[in-house]
Order: sequence, then C-alpha cells, then structure tokens
Amino acid sequence: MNLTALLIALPLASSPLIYLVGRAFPAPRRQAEPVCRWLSVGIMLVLWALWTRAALALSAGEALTTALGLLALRIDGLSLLFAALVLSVSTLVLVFSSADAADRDGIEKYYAMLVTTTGALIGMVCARDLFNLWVWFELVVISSFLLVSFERERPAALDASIKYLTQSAVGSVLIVLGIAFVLAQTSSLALDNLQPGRLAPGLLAAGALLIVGFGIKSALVPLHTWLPDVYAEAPTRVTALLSGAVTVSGLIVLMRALMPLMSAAATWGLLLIGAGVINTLVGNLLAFHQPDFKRMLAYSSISHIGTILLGLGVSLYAHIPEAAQAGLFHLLTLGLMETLAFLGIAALRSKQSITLTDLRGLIYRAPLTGVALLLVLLSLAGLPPLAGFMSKWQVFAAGFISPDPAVRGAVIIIALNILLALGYYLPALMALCTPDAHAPQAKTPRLPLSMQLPLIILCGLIVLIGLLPDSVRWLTGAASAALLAGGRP
Amino acid sequence: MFGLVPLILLFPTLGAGLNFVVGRRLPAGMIGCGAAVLAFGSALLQFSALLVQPAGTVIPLFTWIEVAGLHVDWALRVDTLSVTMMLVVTGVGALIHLYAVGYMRGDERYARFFAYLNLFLVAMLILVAADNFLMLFVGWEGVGLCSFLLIGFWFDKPNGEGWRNSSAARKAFIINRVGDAGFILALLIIGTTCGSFDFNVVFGGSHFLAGDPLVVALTLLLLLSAAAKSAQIPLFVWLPDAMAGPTPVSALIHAATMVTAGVYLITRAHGLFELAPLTQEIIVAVGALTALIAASAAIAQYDIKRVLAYSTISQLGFMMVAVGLGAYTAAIFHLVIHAFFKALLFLAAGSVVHALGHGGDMRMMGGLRGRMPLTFATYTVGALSLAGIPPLAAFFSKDEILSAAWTSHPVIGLLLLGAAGLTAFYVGRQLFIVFFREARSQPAARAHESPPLLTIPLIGLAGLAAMGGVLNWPGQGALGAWLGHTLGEFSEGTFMPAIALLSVGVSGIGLTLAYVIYGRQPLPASRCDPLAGRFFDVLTRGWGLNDFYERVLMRGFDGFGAWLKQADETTFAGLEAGAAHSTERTTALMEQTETHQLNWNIAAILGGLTLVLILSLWLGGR
Repeated sequence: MNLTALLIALPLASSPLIYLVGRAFPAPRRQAEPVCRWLSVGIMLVLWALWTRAALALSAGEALTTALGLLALRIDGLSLLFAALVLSVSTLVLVFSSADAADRDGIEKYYAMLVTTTGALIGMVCARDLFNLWVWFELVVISSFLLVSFERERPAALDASIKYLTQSAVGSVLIVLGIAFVLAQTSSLALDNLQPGRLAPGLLAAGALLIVGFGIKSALVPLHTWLPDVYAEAPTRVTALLSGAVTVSGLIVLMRALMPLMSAAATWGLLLIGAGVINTLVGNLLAFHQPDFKRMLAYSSISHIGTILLGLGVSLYAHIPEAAQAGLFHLLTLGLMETLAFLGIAALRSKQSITLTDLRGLIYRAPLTGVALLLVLLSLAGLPPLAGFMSKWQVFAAGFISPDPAVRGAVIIIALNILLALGYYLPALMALCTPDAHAPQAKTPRLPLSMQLPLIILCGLIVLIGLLPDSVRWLTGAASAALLAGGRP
Repeated sequence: MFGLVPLILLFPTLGAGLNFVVGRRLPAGMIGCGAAVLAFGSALLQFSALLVQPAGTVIPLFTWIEVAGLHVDWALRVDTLSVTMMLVVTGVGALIHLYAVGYMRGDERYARFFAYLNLFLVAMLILVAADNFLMLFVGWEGVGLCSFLLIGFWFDKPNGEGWRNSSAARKAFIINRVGDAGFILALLIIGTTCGSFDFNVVFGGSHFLAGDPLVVALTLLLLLSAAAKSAQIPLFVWLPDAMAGPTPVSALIHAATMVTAGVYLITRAHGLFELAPLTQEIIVAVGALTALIAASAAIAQYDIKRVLAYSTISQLGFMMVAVGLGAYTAAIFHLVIHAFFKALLFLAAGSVVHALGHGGDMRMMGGLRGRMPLTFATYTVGALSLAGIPPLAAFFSKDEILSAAWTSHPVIGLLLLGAAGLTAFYVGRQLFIVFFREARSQPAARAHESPPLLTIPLIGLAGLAAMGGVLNWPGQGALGAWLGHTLGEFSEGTFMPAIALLSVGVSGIGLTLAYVIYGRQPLPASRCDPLAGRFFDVLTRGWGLNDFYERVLMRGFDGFGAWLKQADETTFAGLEAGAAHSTERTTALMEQTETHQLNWNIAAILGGLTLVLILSLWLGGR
C-alpha cells in the first residue's frame, strides 16, 4: 500500500479496533483504558513515522497520490502542514487525556473517536475533488460531534453538541448546494479543473455557498455563534482538539474548495479580507465582558481567525505568496496556542466554568499550569518574541507589500485591534500573577507526567517558533506554494 | 603572526569569565592580572609582526550580520595605530591590574572587581581593534557599561556614600548616552550612504564630497559622541564625579584608556574629518577651551583625585586640538604619554588615599614627603612631567601640540599656553599641599609607605613617564614614521625651540607661583585655600556647568513632565474615558446577539449567506 493511503487508512481502520478491544473487557472496563490508550498512542507514533516519510518523499520531489476508484487523494505541501498540526494536537490531547479521562465510562469510544477525527482531518485536506472533500468534511463533523457530546450527563454539554451538529448540518447543506452548482455549470468536480475566464453567476453563487458553508466551521462572523457555546461546554480537552485542529481546518478546505473558481480570486480575496476585519473586531469586542474564561478565549480565537483570513485573503486578492505563507503560519501557531490554552485550563481539573477569580494567583498555586497559561496569553496578545507575535507580524508585513489602500487599511485596522485585545488579555494576565489574599495559598497537587508533558512541549514550541520563525518556513512555504499553485502539481 | 591577534581578546575574556563564575574560589587577582599580562604579551607579538610588515592586515573572525545586501564581519584590524593603542591599553592595564591586587585586597567583591576590569579590557580592545564602525560601537558601548559598573562599584557604602557613588555612575552613563545618540545617528548616515560599515569602504570610496553638508553632519555627530566619551565641553561634567570609583578604575578607565577613545575615534576616521573643515575648526575650538577651562577648574579642587580628573579633561583638550589641526602623531604621542603619567599620578594618589584610609581631601594631608618617600618621588616625576619640565616625557608631547597650535593660529597657541601655565600651577599646588609643610590631620601624621604591590607599578610607570619622550624624540620622529604607515602620511612632528623655551618659562612661572602661595607658608588656619573667594568657588564647581544642567535642563524637564501629567489627567484622561465608554457601549450592543438560541443562530447564518451571495455576485460581476 502506498504512503498516502496508509497515512489516511491506518487511523480509520484502527479506530474500530480500539473500540472493539475496549469492549472486550468486562464492565466497568477500568482495565480497558490503558490498553486503548497505548494502542492509540502507538497508532499516533506510526502516523508520525509515516508523516516523516511523506515529508521526506515530498521534499525529494515525489508525487504522493493514491486513487481508490473514484476516491482520489494526494499529499501536497498544504496537506503536509495541516497533517503536522493535526497530528501534534491530537497526539498531545491523547497523551493529556489519559490521566484526565481515565475514570470515565465509555473511554474506549473516546479514544476511537479521537483517532477517527485525526484520520478524517488528514483525509479531508488530501481530497482531490469537491464531493470527496464534502464526505470527509461530514466524517469530521460526526466524529467530533461524538467527542463534544462525550460528557452526555451534563445538559449543557448536550445542548452545545446539538448546536454544533445543527449548525454544521446547515453548513453541509449549503456546501452540497454549492457543489451542485459547480457540477451543473462545469460537469466536473475535480479540484484541478480550473474554470477559465470570467465566472458565470452560477459559479459565483457556488463560491458564496462554499464560503458560507465552510465558514460556519471556521467561525466567520456572523456564522460564529456555535463556537463560544461549544468551546465553553464541550469537555475542555475536546475543546483543545476542536480549537487547535478542527476549527482551523475549515479555512484550509475553504481555500481548497474555491480552487476551481480561482479566476475570480480577487472577489474571494476581498470577501475574505472583509470577513477578517469583521471577525477581528467582533471577536475582540465580544471577548471583553465574558465572565467565563473559556468563552473569552473562544471569542479571542474568532478574532485570531480574522488575522488568518487577512493573510489568505490578501494572497488571493493581491497575488502575494508571502501573505498566504504568513496566514498559514498564523494558522499553525494559532492551533498550537489554542491547544495549549485549553489544555492548560483542563489541567486545572476544576468545574466546567472558569472565571478570572478562579485564576487568581495561579502561578503560585500551580506553577506549571500558571506559567503555561501566562505564556499562551502573552503569545495570543502578540508579545515578542513568542510565536503569536511572529506569525501575526508576518501577516501584517506581508499585507503591507501590497500598495492597495483597501489591503493596507484592513491591515491597519486589524493591527490596531491588538490594543483592543489587550483590554481582556491584561486582566487575565494580572489575575494569574496576583497572589490571592483570600484563598489559602496551598499548592495544588502535582500534575501527573502525562499532563505535564503536553504543556511543556507546547510551551517549548511557542517559545521556539517565536525565536526561530524560519524553522517552520519549509512547511509553510511548501503549503502556500501548493495552495496558490491550484490543482496543478 | 597576525593570525594570533584574537588571543589579545581571548585572554581577558577568559579572565573575566573565570572570575565571574568561579572567582570566589580562585585567586581572582592573579587571574585578572595574568589575563592582562598575557594580553600585553600578545600585543607585543603583534608589534613585532608589524615591525616586519608595517602595512598590517585585517583578520576576519566570522560574519556577524548578513541581511539585505548589508554585510558586517567581526574582524580585527592590525595596523600601527590599533597596535599602539593595544599596547597602551594592555601595558598600562597590566600595571594597573597589578596595583589593584594590592589596592582592592579585602574587598568583599574582589573577584567581581577583576571580572569587570578584564571585561573592560575586552571592550576597549574591541574598540581599538574594530575593522568597522558597528564593531567599534560595540566596544564603545562596552567600555561605557564597564565604566558605569566600576564607578558605582562601591554602591553599597554606608552613610549616603554609596548613593553618591551610584549617582556618579548614573551620571556618567546618562551623559554618555547623549554621545551614543550621536554615534547611532552617525551610523545611520554611514550605513545609508556607503552601504557598509567597513573602514576600508567608508574611507576608501568616494562616498562623501569635501564640504558636503552630509559629511559635516556626520562628523559633527561623531564629534558629539567623542566629546561625551572624552569629556569635552559641554559634556565633561561626568568625569570629576566619576572619581567615586576605586582608584585603579580612575587610573585605567578615566585617565589612561577609555576617555581617550574619542581622540582615537577622530584619528581613526581622520579621512572623514578632513573632508569637513568646519568640524575640524569646531574640534580645535572645543579642545582649546576645554583645556583652559578644565585647567582653571583644577586649581580650585580640594579632592586629590578631582584635581587629576580636571587635569585629565584639560589634557584631553590638548589632544583634541591636535586632532582638529591634523597633527595626529602629536595627538597619539600625547595620548600615550598621558596614559603613562596620568596613570602614575592616579595610582600615586591612590597610594596616598590608601595610606590615609580612603579619604581624598587634600586639606587633611600634608608633610607626606618624609613618610611616603617612594610615593612622593614617583608622584613628583609624574607631576613634573605633566607640568612640562624637560626632559620628562610630557614636555616633548605637549610641545608638539603647542607648536602645531602656534603655527595654525596664535589665539589657539595662547589659549593652550595659558592652559599649560595653569597646569604647572595646579600641579605645584597639589605637590605642596599634599607632600610639604606639616601634617594637618591625625591619619596624615601616622601615614606610612604603601606595600610593594602598590609601589612597584608606580616605579614602572614613573620610568615610562620620565623616558617616554624617546618615542618621538625631536629629529628622530620614530612614532611619526610608525603611525605614518596607517595614517598615510609621514609627519615627524615639529619641534620649535622658541615654543619650547616659552612653555618651559610659563611652567616655571606656574610652579614658582604655586611655591609662593602654598609652599612658603603654612595653609591658613581655617584650612581653606589662600585664594578662596567667590571666583574660586565658581572654579571649584567647574565653572558651574553642572549647576546649569541641574537648574535649567533638569528643572525644565521636571516642568515639562508636570505639564504633561496635568494634560494627561485632564485632556487625555477624558479622551480615554470617552473611548473606553464608547467601546463598552458597542460591546453591550453586540452582546445582544449572544442569544444562545439555535433559531437566532441559524437566522444569522442565513443572513450571512444572503450578504455573501449579494457581495460575491456584485463584486464578481463587475
């Protein structure tokens, strides 16, 4: 079997296996957890090995394609970048979960779904035609829905999962409509089938439908309403996966799906830039008064998605490859930062809703978690030399290459939003560092190693990428090249 | 041989590193001293290599900056000028390190002191060995940092003395920042005009035209930073205060080496300064005025080290005049000789202070001639050399500057001649007050000679201060020929017997006057100076320049700050409150959309769809 097929088939095929192995244990299945966990970790490690081989093969210039009947898949630079993000996030979430979810009932389902989601996400960015893209997209929605609703005894969690499913379903419908429009107009669904010349109104409408359909997944304002509810109510480690990989995947498939319609690139670019400005503004303003820390982070991630949209939009609108690269760079760092933020909150192991008061003096009570949250907030706020600053700054710098006043205006507005964002990051930072006079200063018990490790790795990555931004350039560069090359290999 | 030049930097770096990390457990003084001596040995090696191949070379170490067409190497320049400076820095530095081993014994931060001292050597050697302006700036900043650290070395002394020491350190640092700002702006001009910082490119290419406003601006900015580092008008106020540092520091940094960096910079960049005659004239004027004013202020000091500090400023003024007139050999000649005799004077003063138990007030001294014979003898050699008495070294070097000044313009010559007379007077005053007549305090009556560790460097330096004149003996011009390999012209240095006679006469008058006023009769009972008066007070306060800064500039800034605070509390606070208020209101309005209800969410999606459809059809259809 070739590399591409293996990278995608392995998680999908092994996920039922994990489930079945877990079920083989007699109830209450306490012994099932380590078996399922190590099985999943083993699969992740194999996937990493496959990914490394794929990266080497790709850099050697090999074409990594596979076709199973109508199902055509190809690994290109963009798939490689996103697969790296997905694998990082899901591996770390998996390792982290082993201590957090150990005493839960039905843990075998959790691990099985985590692995399925990983496979589906990788498959989604490798799809080479619109219909398959949609099928993968649905698989992601369903598997992640099961994860969101994992703590089904909490009504709020169920409520959130219903919202997630319903709005994703609406998105699906719109995507199918969009695909239908494309098929009706061009009688082809291949992503490589670039439509020349000016687009017919039907194709323009198709593009709009695709933008809105995938935009729901990646929380374009005003399609974002599911995101704060789900981020706040889903199990926090699942939120880490959602925010780190699933939400941003919408942006990548959106760019892919627009590929056949690239002769109207300027239109899509302008729309994305506009969406970026609105996302940043609305996300920041709504983050201000959130009493719940997770909701605040949810809105802040909406504003960060605005920055990615700016980078991607500028690359389409003004034909600036650096902007695509910077946008994808920010996508990568945002994924890592969000994962760290939500894993940090999960490490508190407190009640579902966290307020700033709960965070008071955290760096004294729980130094590792406190420092991790401190670092990620500083990075999200855009403090040099952390990763969040580097990627955001590169987006702005790439935007300023274009002399177009519309682009420059958008860059300036989004850059000024950093000040606005300080309005909610700073109180959180202060809470972390202010000793709590009322609560006893007793230290919380030490975290198990399986929780410490993901936090430390992510902190290290955020610092390292900030200091050496060029260390991931080979990934983002290849990804932006693949993105802008369209279907042509 | 030239390939070994990194050794000069390596030894002090190792010394500093060792003393920083494990100095407490090692004989820190020996390490510091050894590093300086080894560096001196390496400098001698380079010297011998240059004797064979006087054109010198550039040893690149590694590429430092490589961005967008700008290429800056970390490269060491070996030529007659840089090696002369290296020899002075490491040679005088080694003697002062040796002295410091005895002087600082028992200090609780002994290892730290030698670490700083070695670090200073590193920075100073980077400064003189730099092959480009950027690297020179690294050294320039490095010596400034070490100067700051060492002036404030005794920041924790009791009774407010520690506070005074750290204030002096801050003052030195801040005033040097003024100069650094000039340097940074100059770097910008160089970088944008030449596209490189390498000396060869900047001096060699025809990037600047003679008299071009750009090159005038560039040289004036460099002059600003040189004036700050070399304590010239109007930025000399930090140097007298810098005497708060331990005496070896004053000798090494604030007399022999760092403060001469400005003179070195102008000499090194002489190609640029010669294109800007206006700047050269300003340099001459600044130098001559500084020489005269600082010499007059030195007359009225009571602290033994402050006299020497003003003397240093004055002598730096002489060197500035020389570089301004293009007499680079004379300037470097005097720089070297000054390093000898001023280090000697400081160390001897330190020996006196040490014997009296750390107090520099000359009114508490007197009659030390008999009790500290060795210190007295070496001090006298240094003092007479400074006064310009033949055949001591400074007679020759100062005379070259006087000749150059006299041939350029008689006014400059007269100013410098006046300064020379004042120099002899304050030197004589100090000699008589400190060493002659009767002891005026208990410690002075009980003082005894310092240990050999302190006196051996004195003897060595006294020898140099006495015999240094052979370096550029009239008619021989060895130093001129030597530096000519780098400066591109052979200037023997002129010796005019008439000027020599005149200057010796003036010095004689100065010394005689000093004897008449201070040596013939005991000081007045009030322990004050016989000349004390209103004008004398003005001189004591260094012509009140410091008061001017404190009264006008600092108060002005205070006033401006107060006004800004006022404005901030009224106008800007109002604006801020308004902005915050309007943001809050917008947020509150938007929060209305957070319904948590699925129906509204789907409605929002449909609204969004409508919007995007309309927009894409409209934009794409255009």
